Amino acid sequence: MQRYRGALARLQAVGLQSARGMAAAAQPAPAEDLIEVTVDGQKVSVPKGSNVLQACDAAGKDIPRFCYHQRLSIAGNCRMCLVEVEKSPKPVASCAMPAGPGMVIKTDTPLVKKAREGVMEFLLINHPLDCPICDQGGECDLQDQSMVFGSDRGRFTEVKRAVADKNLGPLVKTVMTRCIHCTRCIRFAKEIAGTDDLGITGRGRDAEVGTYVEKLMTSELSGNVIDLCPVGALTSKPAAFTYRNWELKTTESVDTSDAMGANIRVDTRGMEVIRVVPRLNEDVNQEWISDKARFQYDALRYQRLNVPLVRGEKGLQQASWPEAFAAIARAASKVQGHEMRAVAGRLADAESMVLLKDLMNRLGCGDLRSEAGFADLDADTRSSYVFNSTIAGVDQADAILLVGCNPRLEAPVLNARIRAANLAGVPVAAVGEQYDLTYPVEHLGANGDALDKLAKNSDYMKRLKGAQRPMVIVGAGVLQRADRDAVLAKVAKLVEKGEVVREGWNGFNVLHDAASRVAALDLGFLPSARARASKAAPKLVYLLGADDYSEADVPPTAFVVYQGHHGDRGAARADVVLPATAYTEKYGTYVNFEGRPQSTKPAVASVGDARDDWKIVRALSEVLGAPLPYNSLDDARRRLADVAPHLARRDAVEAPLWLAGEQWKAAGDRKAAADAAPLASAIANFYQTDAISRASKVMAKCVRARQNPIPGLHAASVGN
Amino acid sequence: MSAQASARAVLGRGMRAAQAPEAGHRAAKNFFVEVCRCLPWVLKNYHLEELTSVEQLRRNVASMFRKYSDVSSPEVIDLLVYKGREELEMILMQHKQRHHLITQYIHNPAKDRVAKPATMSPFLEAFYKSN
Ligand code: SF4
Ligand code: FES
Repeated sequence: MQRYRGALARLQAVGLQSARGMAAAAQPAPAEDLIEVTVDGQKVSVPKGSNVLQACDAAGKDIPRFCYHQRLSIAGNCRMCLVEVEKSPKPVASCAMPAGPGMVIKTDTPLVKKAREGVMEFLLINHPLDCPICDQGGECDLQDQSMVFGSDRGRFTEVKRAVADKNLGPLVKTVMTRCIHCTRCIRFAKEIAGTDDLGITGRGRDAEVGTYVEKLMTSELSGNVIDLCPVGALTSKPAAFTYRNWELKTTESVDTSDAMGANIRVDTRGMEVIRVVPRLNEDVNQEWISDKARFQYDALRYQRLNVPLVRGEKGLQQASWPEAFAAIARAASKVQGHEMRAVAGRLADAESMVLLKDLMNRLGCGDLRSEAGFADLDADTRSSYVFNSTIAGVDQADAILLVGCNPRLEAPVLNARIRAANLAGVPVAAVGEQYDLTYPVEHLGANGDALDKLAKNSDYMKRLKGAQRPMVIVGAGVLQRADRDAVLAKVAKLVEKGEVVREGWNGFNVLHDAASRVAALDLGFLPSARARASKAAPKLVYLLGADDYSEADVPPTAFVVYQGHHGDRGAARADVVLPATAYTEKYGTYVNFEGRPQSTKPAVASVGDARDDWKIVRALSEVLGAPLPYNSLDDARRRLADVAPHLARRDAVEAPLWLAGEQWKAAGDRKAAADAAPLASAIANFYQTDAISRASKVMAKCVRARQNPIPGLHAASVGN
Repeated sequence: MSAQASARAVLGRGMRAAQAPEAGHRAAKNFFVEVCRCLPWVLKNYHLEELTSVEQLRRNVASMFRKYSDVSSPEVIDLLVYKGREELEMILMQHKQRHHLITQYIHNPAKDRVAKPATMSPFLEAFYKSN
């Protein structure tokens, strides 16, 4: 029922958008496209093309299932979903049977009960009875359904079969004897992830799910098969044997490993994060998350900063908070406001950024930047730096052009959505370096010149114009280039000529790769005009969780304050280190690349003497003699709403205004020349992009595994 | 008057003060004088010379009396004198030890109890304590 409601809500949402002036490609099913069926004497209407199982769901009847999954193709091989249909001589597999008008379906007859019992008995013939040592125990579909639908005895007295476990890499643990051959994992790998890693070999009793030759899963989404597997055949390797699911406390939060803001559930026991699993959000991540989001949590135990540190004669030494603040105050008293600089890191939350901005401004400093580039990006027009079409908009697009981006590494879940669109027939083209995106991409050139050529009445231009909802996706790598203005001017021309932005549809999108970036731009965490013009090197640099700063941003002679949660590059360079909380330990607003503000929630307590980021900035402001008037999280969030009102509307996207390309004029006027280097993604190593993932042992194992995806075959070529 | 004699005098008069509530301010003044008379002996007996002087001690004691200068009700004055005498008795009988006197009388308790200067906002104070 839940699922069907979701589908209905999706249909309605699409309908709403079309009411706002979008072309009429996806309308809600009109009345004549509904068919009426009877389920257990109750009449329900379902859209044409639904199957019997969906009809039963719509009627509120729960049908047991193993192989059916609403986001995967239909396999119909587990037979658990048998129901009785009038005039059919045998029970039918409801997931594989299209619903016809006037069908009379029965789900609670003795025949159905018997059929389910029989299927259950067959499934359990070869299923080991190892629930007490199985990680799926307690949340296992097979366990639950055999309790409800199974018989209390079996007639099988022979020897159960055993299957060799497969090595799928450092993330997915396999106990293949438990597999019930539902093929969900195979279909996921093939359809969603787009890597044909898994398959079935052998038949009958000898059927095995595996990779045929020993080969690791090469998808960035591979962890999702753990959720999909209805039994304990595929479980999490890093969390193996560490928990029972009923011991866990769950917290609904948001992922910060990329800029997508995937909705996650953080499961904890005591002080420890035990696992991270996705949370359903049709508008963002559907029900998938990337492997980094799922498995980087082990880093929350390693390399944590848990006490303030002050650099003394013997390097960084432990200090108390007042001592650390005093050290900063001493250094700050020697420099003037305009000699300071603040750099926000990839994982900075919006609250701490707005407070730091206020503090810096009060001290007379306007030099605020985000790490790794585009300090001077013009953020006056919001539509010029967010993903205007929204993630759900990908489903409606009918032509997609990628400019210098690699969504597979920058936002794997988005890539899966683009792939789904592509499978549905939407052509994807790319300008920039060539990447393996798991779907065919028409490559149109590598650098800025190619964009010029495209804009000049090319064949592709015509197609772009002809499309109803074209999308242009510009990668963050483009924004980080020295010749950004020139490239953006070319993109602007392309967008204008291709009429990518039209009534009711904004197809211009920027795909950011850091969780903090859009919030930083929204809040104007950007250098002031004076700071932009100034050539003087700053004498005091405040790193707000910045570990990927460019060397030029932090001069060697500067006094450096680092506020963050992991001992990484920033902390090593710092003179004073202030320990802060990580995303699983605090309330923090993160704005995803669509411009959707979402909040993380504390799942575990902070470690040691660490404090929440916004509190640190607030406390420091008082010691520096410029106290900020925000004493609670609500105060900080009110301030956030003052600066950027759309950040007060959580979980919703405020559609930005498109100023008919006016914002490009300034960039175009600067007349910078584009260089010939190919437009490339800024992320080369998916598994290690920020301080957390770099501290993760699991992620390090993944990197090693990727270098050698076929163990035993030396120096195999790496996908990307 | 020897030290022992003055101690006896104090102990003896303790009863009388309690029985005469109408004595009012005079009772307090008399009591103060009594305390002052004992101070040289206290200084010597508890080896407090190395830390303070009779004058200093007297000043401290006086400030403790003055703290209650706004009290006018005879009952309360009587009670205060009674409690003060109790204290004095304990000192003279050596039921108190040296560190009691040092912490209670050598540093001016009236002064010590002054609240911390408010250099910090409640937020910062809470911040230093925990997250
Ligand atoms: S491993 Fe799990 S998901 Fe894959 S076929 Fe077997 S039971 Fe299904
Ligand atoms: S759910 Fe229908 S056959 Fe498996």
